[in-house]
This record gives sequence, structure tokens and C-alpha cells, in this order.
Amino acid sequence: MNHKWLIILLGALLLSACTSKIYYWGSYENTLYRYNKEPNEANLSKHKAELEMIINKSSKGKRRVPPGIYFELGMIEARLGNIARSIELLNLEKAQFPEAEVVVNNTIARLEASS
Amino acid sequence: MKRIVFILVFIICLSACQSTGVTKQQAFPKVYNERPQSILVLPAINKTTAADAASLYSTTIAQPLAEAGYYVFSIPYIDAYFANEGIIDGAQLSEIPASRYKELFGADSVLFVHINQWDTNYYVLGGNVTVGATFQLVSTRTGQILWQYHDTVVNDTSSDSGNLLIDMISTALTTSVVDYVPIARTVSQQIVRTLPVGHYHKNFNKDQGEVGVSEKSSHDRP
Repeated sequence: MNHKWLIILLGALLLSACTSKIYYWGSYENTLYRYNKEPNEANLSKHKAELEMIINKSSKGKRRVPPGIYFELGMIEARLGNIARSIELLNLEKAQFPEAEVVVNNTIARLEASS
Repeated sequence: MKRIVFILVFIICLSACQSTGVTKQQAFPKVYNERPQSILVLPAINKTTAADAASLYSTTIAQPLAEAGYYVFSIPYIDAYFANEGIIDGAQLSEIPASRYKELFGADSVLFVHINQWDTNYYVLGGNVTVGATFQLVSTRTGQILWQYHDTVVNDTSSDSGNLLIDMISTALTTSVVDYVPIARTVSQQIVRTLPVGHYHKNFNKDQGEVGVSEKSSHDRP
């Protein structure tokens, strides 16, 4: 009985230490690292797929999309010529994070001027 | 029974507080005065001979800063933006007034990351991989340094089988394949742990009394 108590207490402490994350990251660091190390099309599409996965999973789970993820995917879409989708993603970044307002507005203005 | 629980809780509290040092409020009052909400991470200032250190290191920075409650501007985008301007090392930006980043990106603060060490060392009976960095947060409103901290992590790659020759070969092999990035990740996490948390964190404006800043490091210059 006593031991059970202790285990529950320790478990609760460990759990509280592990659930402090605000955002869902998936394998973001790994796919970005691989792309930075070898910037080729295959690694870019893997990283892009990871960004899309993070956005999809976050919308279902409790954790939010991390700052910069919509933006990063938006810039990849712009590079691929998908300007409308890019602007949509940049606006999602701004909607979730008001801190991004200036950079999103400036970037959209540049995208619209060049397209 | 109650006593055991009490002692246990006491030990946990003690272990959390044992790192002797100053509180976050004492070490970094300017962060609490200004309360920046967003951080723009500039391309790293690479002081090492490893050319790829900056681009690899940069992948480990966004996550700890964001989880500390700050809005972090997309690091790949910022790197690409500056690369487009011909800037690949943060040292090239030292003359730019910090207020410029407020105008261009709307950033409350900019982070200078100095990579001090990114080395593999061999000695006769062992080896190690070392990553060291200094982070400096600068206000875009006042141009003042709000927070700075540095840390170094040494990953020992020595092996110890008792046979000198086998150890030498095994150490060389282990050292040569050790990936820097997990070590860099630890460095970033340890440094960011000393930063007062930002407004997306549940402890925002409640961590002034937290002790975890070693006095020595907080006063060292990069």
C-alpha cells in the first residue's frame, strides 16, 4: 500500500515534467537538419511533408502548431510557384501569432509584386 | 507513511534548488522590464573552423525558444532572407542597429548566437566531441542586451576495454561518427533554460525567483 502511494506520486511528478510542451513538433528538427546538411529536392520534399504532418496532427491533438511552421511551409510553396497557397499559409501564421503581422504583411506584398 | 512522502517531496525540492546561483530576476532584470514577445534569431556567428556548424546548429534553436513561450520567427526563412542579401554569418550584421529588425520584421528582440566550439579532440587514450555557444538577446527598442548566457557540452567518446590498442581504435571510430547535433541540442536547451519565459508559457511573469542561473556564467562575456 505504501509503495503504491510512492509510485503514484513519482509517476505524477515525472508526468508533470513531461507534459509541459506547448507545441507539437513531430520530427521537425531531424528533417530540417537533413535538408540543411544535404539541400536536395528529396530532402526538401521530406521536410515539406513533415511540416504538413505537423499542421494536420496539431489540428487534431491538444498541442498547437509551433511558431514559424505555417510560415516556413508557405515559403516552400512560394518557391514551388503556388502563390495562392503560400499567401493562405502566411495568413494562418498571422492569425495564430499576431507577432508575425509585420513580417507576414511585408512578405505577402513582395509575393504579390513578383507574381 | 506521511513522513516518507514529506521527505521525498523535500528531497525533490532540494534537488531542484541545489544549483547555487542567482535568481532570474537578479540576473536578467531587463527581460522582466521589457517583456519581449518575439525573438528573431540571426544567422549564427561562427567562431569555429567547421564551415557547416552554423547551418546545422540553427536547427536546434527554434524548439527550446518557442517552448519557453516566445514567438520565434521562422529560422530557415530568416537565414534565406539574409543569404539573399549576401549575409551568411551573423558577424556581418554587427553594424546594423537593432531597431532595423523591428521595422523589417516586427521583432521585439534579436538573438545573436555565437558558436564558440564545434570540435573533435583526440588524445592518446581517449577523445571527445565539444560544442559550446553563447546566446545574446538584444532589444530592438533600446539596443541593449537583455539576456546572455553560454554553455559548453563535452561528449566523452573514450572507450575503456582495458586493451590499449583496441581502445585507441574504438575511440577513433566512435569519435569520428559522433553527430554534433544532439550535443548542440543539449547546449541550446541548457542555455535557454536560464531565459525568463515568454508570454505563451504558463509561468510567464512568475519565474523571477527561479534559481538556475550559475553566477559565473551569467557574468562571463562571450
